[in-house]
Amino acid sequence: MPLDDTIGSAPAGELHIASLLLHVRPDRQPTVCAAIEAMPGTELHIEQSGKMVVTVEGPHEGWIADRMTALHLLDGVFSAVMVFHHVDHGEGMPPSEP
Amino acid sequence: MRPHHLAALAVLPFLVPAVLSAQNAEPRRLDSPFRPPVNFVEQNNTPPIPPDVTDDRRVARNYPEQPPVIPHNVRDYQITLNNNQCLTCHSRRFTEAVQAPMVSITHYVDRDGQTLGAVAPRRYFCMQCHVPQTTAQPIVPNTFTDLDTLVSRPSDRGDRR
Amino acid sequence: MLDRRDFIKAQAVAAAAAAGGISLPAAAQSSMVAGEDTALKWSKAPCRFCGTGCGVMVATKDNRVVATHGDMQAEVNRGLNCVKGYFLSKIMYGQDRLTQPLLRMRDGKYHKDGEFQPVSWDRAFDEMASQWKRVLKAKGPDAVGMFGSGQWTIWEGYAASKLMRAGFRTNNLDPNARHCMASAAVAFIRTFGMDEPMGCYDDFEHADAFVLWGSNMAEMHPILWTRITDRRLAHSHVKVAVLSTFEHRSFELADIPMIFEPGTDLAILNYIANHIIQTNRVNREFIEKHCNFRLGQKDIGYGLRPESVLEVRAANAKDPADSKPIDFDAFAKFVSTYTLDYTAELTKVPKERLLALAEMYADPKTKVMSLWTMGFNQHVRGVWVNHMVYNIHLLTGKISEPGNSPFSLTGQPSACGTAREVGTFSHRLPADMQVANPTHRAHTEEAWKLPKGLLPAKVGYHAVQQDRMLKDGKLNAYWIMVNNNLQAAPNSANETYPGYRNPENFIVVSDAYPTVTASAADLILPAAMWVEKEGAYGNAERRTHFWHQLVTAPGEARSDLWQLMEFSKRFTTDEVWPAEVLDANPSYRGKTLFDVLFRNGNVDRFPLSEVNAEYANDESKDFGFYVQKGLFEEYAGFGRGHGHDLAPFDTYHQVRGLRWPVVDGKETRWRYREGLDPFVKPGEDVRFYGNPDGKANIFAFPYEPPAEEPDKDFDLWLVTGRVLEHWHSGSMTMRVPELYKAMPMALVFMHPDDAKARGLRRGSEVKVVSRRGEMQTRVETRGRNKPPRGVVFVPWFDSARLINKCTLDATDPISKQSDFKKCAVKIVAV
Repeated sequence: MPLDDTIGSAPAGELHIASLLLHVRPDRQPTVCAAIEAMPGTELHIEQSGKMVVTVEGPHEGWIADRMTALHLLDGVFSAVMVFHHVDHGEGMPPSEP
Repeated sequence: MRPHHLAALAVLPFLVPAVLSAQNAEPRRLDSPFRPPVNFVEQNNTPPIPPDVTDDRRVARNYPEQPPVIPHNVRDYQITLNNNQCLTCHSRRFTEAVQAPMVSITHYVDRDGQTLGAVAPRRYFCMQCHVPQTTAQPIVPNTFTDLDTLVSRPSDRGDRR
Repeated sequence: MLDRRDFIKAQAVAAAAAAGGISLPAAAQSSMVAGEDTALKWSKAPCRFCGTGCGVMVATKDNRVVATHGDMQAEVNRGLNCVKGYFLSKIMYGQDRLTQPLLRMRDGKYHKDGEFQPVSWDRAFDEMASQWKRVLKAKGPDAVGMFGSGQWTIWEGYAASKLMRAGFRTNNLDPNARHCMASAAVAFIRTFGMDEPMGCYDDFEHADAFVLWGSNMAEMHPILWTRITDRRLAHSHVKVAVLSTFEHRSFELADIPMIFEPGTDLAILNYIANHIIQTNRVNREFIEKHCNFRLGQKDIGYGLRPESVLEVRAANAKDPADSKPIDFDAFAKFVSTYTLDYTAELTKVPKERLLALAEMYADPKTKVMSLWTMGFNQHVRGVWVNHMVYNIHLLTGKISEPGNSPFSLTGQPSACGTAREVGTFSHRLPADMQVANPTHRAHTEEAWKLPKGLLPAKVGYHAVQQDRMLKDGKLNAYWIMVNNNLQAAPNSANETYPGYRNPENFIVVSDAYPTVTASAADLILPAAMWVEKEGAYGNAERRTHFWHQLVTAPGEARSDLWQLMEFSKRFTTDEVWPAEVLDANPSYRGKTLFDVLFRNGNVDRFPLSEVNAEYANDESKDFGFYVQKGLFEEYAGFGRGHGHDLAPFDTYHQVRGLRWPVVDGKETRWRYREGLDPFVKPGEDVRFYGNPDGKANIFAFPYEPPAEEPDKDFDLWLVTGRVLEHWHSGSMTMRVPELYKAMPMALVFMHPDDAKARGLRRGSEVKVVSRRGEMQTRVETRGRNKPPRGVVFVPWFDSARLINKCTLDATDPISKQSDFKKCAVKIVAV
């Protein structure tokens, strides 16, 4: 499935970071790993007994959503659940008191 | 025994009811010996109802998982079975036009972990998690320290004595 | 400084790993970000607030909580929290945490009118023990008492129960859960012979209709509300009915909204029963096989002081719980007077809405979940109204199966786990046993390895009675733990405060913060809270949920468990047990209460080596054995094998809670039905095995009016309650800046026309005045709560504006739970 990078608009300077928890068929783990590595903006951090933690970074939420869908549709992936989604507006470190 | 502490603690219980009252003034120090003694028996004065914060300035979060607070007025917002006024600005379709931050796509995930095309029904009532803020100033300071601050200063191993 | 992007990524990875139960390899962390500086430790815990029992993941760093989020693995909430839950990170960090014991002193000695001075734990317990001994010697066990909580961890409540009943030999032990769900608990036992719901939260995904009886789940149980919202918005056939005495946020989802006259819910329920019978929709087979019918006592009074005119006038105030058997026909005749016309007139609800509601229950194809909390329970007929909702589920057989579920919600995190299951009520023992039952006492004595005949049979003082006895000088040594009763108790200025300041009494308050209650104490003990100790809670769906100690309590603050056990060392059996018991059992002589209650071979059975080395456990370290495990395993022995079965201790540290009975490692989601509950035998179909005959009781009760109604002098109904942002008395949430700023003060919500008629408008400064007291605040006419004319709503979270000075200390005469929802007030401009 082609990844469309144009869905939605991207306010300048925004960075979206999300993490996903994947449940993977153990025998397909190598091919899933390879597919993730080939996907721009995604990064595999942990693989452990059929589970994987993957981060996705991109300029807007559509980018993230598309990669999440793509990961979900990979052969051998039972589920891809988003755990964390953070939008950084490039304002630098937040002040300690809100 | 530390004498200054002693004096502070001695007056503390009399201040308790006032400690949590809504005030628009600067937060007063807990150990101030000059506060009027207030206890269960006495009536507290009633500050005016504080107005909502409406400056539209995004407030930084304490940690990434914290739902952002609402920096604008939401009084009389219509949220019914058929209409959710929050989403008229914050949904994916409309954020470009009104410059409102779009809801996080974690909100598209349903209870079973499936990603939907729109905000999941269980997230429909926005103000269960996102609340507006008034201009009232907290009376009791909170010493919560976020991770950013914690990693950039020497550790005290959580000693709060 | 770290690279911000890497920093956020590290948190993203940690959150996902925690959600998946993946242990984060150190290498993965350090290779990913700037250094191990940012390594967070994520651990599971239940939320500290309501009875929903959401799972949260708690991140700690350098002995501090730095972040929290909803636990994806927790069945209850699947990653969501409400706004309070999302701010759990901050509840322990109010700057005014109590860190030292404080004793009222004058000239270096304790003095009732002295100023609070910091003292050592030794000095604090010395004074406390000498006061306890003074009172025990002068007046005996009936003059000491304790007021605990549904916020106690399971082992704290259990240790308190042992200390009070077996140690001091009094049942003057009651939890603030008395104010919260005593009516529900009593009705469960009277109907089913066993406490707590037969169904569970899975019913939310199975029901076709939801009925909120006086409950505002949108604010009080927001995460369960997300599950109803999910079901309603995703399935067009699903309907939601919301009944209340005023309009609130839950009405936003209502298909059938209903505002009724306070107290008339009794009539609505009888009307529904009548409608089911008149339209021949009774499940005859079900009631014949599984139900008995009984006629309850009427005109039972209002639980006020006996000399009150309302009690003197009531025909059956002395035996309110009586009932006698009847048959179905007699029941049908009894409810036949509750016609649509009569009910509509009494309740002021439009007929078509009453009919639509009755049809939800009557239609055999509609699976109905009924939900209630304080609207039903804080009701002078709270037990009746609980029975009446079971009536309509039993008449139709809509019970004990997925989606058909009368479900009693709870307000405190361990109202079920601690107050009810452990049995910290003045009439209860563990596993639904009763202090008045000699067999139950004998069984408890055996389990606790105590001399026969030690446990007292006399039912102790319940919450409201404790306040009255303190005021009257009959209860003199009193320990208040994890609750803020001076803010929470009804008619507090007349019935609660005088008892605390009565010169004959010594009042001890254990709390994490200087609450209003602490301000009226004689000794304040600083308490560890939430993840500063290893704990266990039991939520509303029978789910037992554990957590580890994640950080250290500030200063000298200690957990309630440590306080209870340490205090028990100050007494020997010779000081507190009768001579005849010791004569008959000389081996108990000369031992401390700590020895006989906690070093009894059960509680001290598990060595320190069994404590998970990754987590601190301050109590176990202090006492030299795995305290929590020993207490839990001794306690679990009460319920195993007869329907209250708990899993082994260590299991609960691995899972996100389990719903009891847990049999062969499997939890039970629906009780009393064959195939779903392992205690129902093949061929039995449904068996309410809490009762010896296996049948549930359907009770006939009439409508009776509230204790006080508006009149020309006090012309408005006062309803009190909570708001989303604050939990109960606000001692935690008012110290979270975001929650404080969202809802900084308790206002009086009223109808704009009621305000106008008094020359008031939004923001006007007013007094809310009842016959008992007054409270000063400002008028809100445009807020989230929209009372009809004649009703005002005031929340009770605000310690600077105490609405319970106005409320009435009327209780349900059977459950002894106060009615915080119905009294008469007037509003006057200041």
